[in-house]
Amino acid sequence: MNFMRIDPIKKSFFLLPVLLFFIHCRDVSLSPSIEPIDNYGIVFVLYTWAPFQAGVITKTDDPDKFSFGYHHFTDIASVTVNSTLFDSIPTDSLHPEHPETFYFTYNYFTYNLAVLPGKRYDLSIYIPGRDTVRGYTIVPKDIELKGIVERDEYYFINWQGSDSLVYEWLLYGYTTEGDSSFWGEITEGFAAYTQYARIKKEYIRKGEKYKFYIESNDMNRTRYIMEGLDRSGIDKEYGLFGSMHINKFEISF
Amino acid sequence: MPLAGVNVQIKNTFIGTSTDPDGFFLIDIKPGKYELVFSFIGYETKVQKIEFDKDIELHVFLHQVLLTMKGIIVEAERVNQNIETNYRLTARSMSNMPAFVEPDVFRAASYLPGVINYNDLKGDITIRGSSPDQTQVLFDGMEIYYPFHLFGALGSFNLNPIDDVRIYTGGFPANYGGRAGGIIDLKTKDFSGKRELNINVSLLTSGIYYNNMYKKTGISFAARKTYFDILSKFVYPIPYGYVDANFKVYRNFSKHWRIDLLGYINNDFLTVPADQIGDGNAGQFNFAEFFNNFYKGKNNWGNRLLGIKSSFKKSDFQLEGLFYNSLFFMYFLPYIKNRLNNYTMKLDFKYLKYSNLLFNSGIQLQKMNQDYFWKFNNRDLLELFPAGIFPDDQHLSNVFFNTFFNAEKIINRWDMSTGFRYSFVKNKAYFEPRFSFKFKLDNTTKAFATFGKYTQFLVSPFDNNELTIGNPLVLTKRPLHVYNISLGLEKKLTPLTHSKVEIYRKYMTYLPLDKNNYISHIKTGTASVNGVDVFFIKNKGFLTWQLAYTFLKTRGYYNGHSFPLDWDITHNLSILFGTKMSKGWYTNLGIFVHSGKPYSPVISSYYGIIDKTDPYYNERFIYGKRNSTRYPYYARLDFSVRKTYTWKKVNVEFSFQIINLFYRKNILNVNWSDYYSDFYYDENGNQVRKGIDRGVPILPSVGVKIIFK
Repeated sequence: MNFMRIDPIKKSFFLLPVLLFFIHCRDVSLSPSIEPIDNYGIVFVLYTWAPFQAGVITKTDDPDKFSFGYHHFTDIASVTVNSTLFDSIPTDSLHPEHPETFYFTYNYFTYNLAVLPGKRYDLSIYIPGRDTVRGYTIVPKDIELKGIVERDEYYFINWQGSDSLVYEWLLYGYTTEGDSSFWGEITEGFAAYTQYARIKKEYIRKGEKYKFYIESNDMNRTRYIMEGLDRSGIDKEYGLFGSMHINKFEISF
Repeated sequence: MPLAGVNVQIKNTFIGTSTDPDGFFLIDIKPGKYELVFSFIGYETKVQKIEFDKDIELHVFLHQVLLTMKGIIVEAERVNQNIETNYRLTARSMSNMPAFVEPDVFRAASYLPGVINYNDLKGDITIRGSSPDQTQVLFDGMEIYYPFHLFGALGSFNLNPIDDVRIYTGGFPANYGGRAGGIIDLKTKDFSGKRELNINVSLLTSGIYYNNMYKKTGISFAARKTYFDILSKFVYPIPYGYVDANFKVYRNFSKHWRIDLLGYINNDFLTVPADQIGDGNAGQFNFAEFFNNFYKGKNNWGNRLLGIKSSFKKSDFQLEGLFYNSLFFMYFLPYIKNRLNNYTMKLDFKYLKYSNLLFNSGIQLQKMNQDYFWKFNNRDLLELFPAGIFPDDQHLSNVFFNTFFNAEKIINRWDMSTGFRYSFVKNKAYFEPRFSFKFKLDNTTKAFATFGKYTQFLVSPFDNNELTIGNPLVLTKRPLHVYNISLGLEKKLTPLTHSKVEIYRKYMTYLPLDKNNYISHIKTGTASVNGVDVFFIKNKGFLTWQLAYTFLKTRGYYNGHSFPLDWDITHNLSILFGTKMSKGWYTNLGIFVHSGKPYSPVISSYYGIIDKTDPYYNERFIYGKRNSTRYPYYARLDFSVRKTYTWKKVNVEFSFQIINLFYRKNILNVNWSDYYSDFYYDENGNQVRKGIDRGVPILPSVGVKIIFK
């Protein structure tokens, strides 16, 4: 076959898709245009160890304009947990634009609520013009340490709690660096639906004392984090009503 | 010159053989009238009528055809004794396609109908609406798990020793099992009558391939390795490399009996310790560290296969036994330690009766051990390995027992096949019936249909869209079931042009739909898939081309709502052109256009303090309906050119290719947290949002292949 005698039309047929493609090749931009919903975001987590209980209520907003200002917060809601009324902080006294306060901002709080492990707490939030939001949380119970097992190059610390929760654990040890000695974090971990911590032997010095903390998340907070739910522990609006409990143990290996 | 490996088949029967290295063949048939079909790539297919009443000798001459088809060679025709939908890709055709630096089986498969590569940074494919983990990869009959290099970007198979690749996109026969979506079955070459010695150099690797026969013993060996990890010591630090190698040694003890020893390894490794990545120390190539990693199994990941096969073949009878060990390992210490170790023993038996009835049955015993450990708390590493965000630790062991039976019969225009597969796992039995038939409407047209149930016991624990060091499989408590039905029509439009249309429906139960990156809590639902595959191919002549169009509609049902699956690509078009421009010059053009992937839109956001110490959690998005919106459509044009020079005893082939020639910045995924909170200004002062993952950029590459004659 003499390839130099190919019909020019055939050659252009070969080039046609190239030309067509050239027209379509450009930068591709993404412009999601979804009408944002107008609602409320509610987050209340009860801590058994905290000196006071706090939460936050904000209006939902277009994520395109996502930069929190005080206008997102609302102080007109009435929040009660087990008939204890929360105090509200007037919105104009908040400074959420400052990063150092932004991360810890809350606009509802109370010093009058004792949070105890294993108890149920009912939430009721009334926002004028909206349906009352209700929800409840059952605070995780105390957990029991079951023992330490050695396997391969690891120690396994086992405990007994509810098997459907998420636990976060921390191991503290007494360390000496130069002239100073202090309690410092050795390692930390996350036990989702399991009940043990796995710690490398090389981090541990036998015979010394360690402090082992286990934070138990209640079912609402577990599902909010693990399943990415929009609403957990409350029946309306968006957000979370959950609780956490910490157990502390002194252990040695 | 005698030709080895020529297919010899009696028309309209299963009786067939292939010629030995000296070109001889022997067919044991009763006296009568027959039509013998002789076929071999690069030669004209010849049909010869014979009639005899005693043993005869036959001499056949095949004429060489001009190999102008330097483009793709895809055979949509029936091969072997299976009616089911499959495509055969030859190593040569895959080498000719525009490649992502190196030719790759998975990238080549994405030119076929029903096969979609929905994230072009990765080699993962979905076959007819099935998730990537539903595709089984077999290497000389041995199952291999997640065979990828370069963080999942490239398949780990060197194409030099590969003879052919059979890809089942629809119903597959009962001798295949364990996965529910599709099969990629790779076979390595036997001795083809001529010693082969190739040396390859590409931008990524250098490699060698050798194939020869010494008396009755055949040897095939191939290996390749990155060299940038060594060069990086002098040029630019890259703390990573990979290597793969395979061998096959076989001996023909008699005309009927043969034993094969098979081996394969692929290994990606770090040349610095895992916990030093991101530190100032990283990137300095350290030989001691490299050997430590490579030989002691530290900070490296890949596969290892070792098997022995014995096969006994007569004209109407075939028995094959295979014992192998397949290991998938991922060590990225102290963060990942993952092993899936599989010991398999299988026996396969084929028996031919009355020349048109074929029985095939077998048994398989598998012992699978799994150690699965992930632990990532280091946020820097999350950027590299997002899949490992949650720690887990699991040790599992299971024994699988499978048996299958299949019978296929040809009656006039009908070709019917029926079979089943039976699996016993943990005292439970799973039954998988498989049926198919083909009907010849006329000399150019065939209609076919398949129905089958497919069961899968291993699933991937996370949706792996990102580049990671591997996507391991875990044993599920409830296996996935897929029911598949398809109807199709094959037609030869002209002597050189073939076409095929197939419609199919799949129904899946216990499909993992809510993995949440977490293996203990994988939640399953059901899904339905409907689709149409259209395929045209012209594989000879000045211009060779193929066109594959796939229409796909998927729907997952989970937790009271329904949504398209993540890989729901409604329209998918891939076109491949190949042409010989002048002597020794070959060009190929590949085009991919498909609908955008679905995603869940972000509707609103609010302020949520759920973690007192981590600001990341304070930003909370409210998502709209799952997978209700789509990214813009995807398009890519690839180009390759090849030039072969011939000297006395050497052929040298230079190749140059460009992927995404027009540099279309396709959108693959969006990280909404970054998209809404992180941005920068370009040189024109326009705000550009971050968080958008783009597809492959413009990617040129070159390669050299030296073939010793």
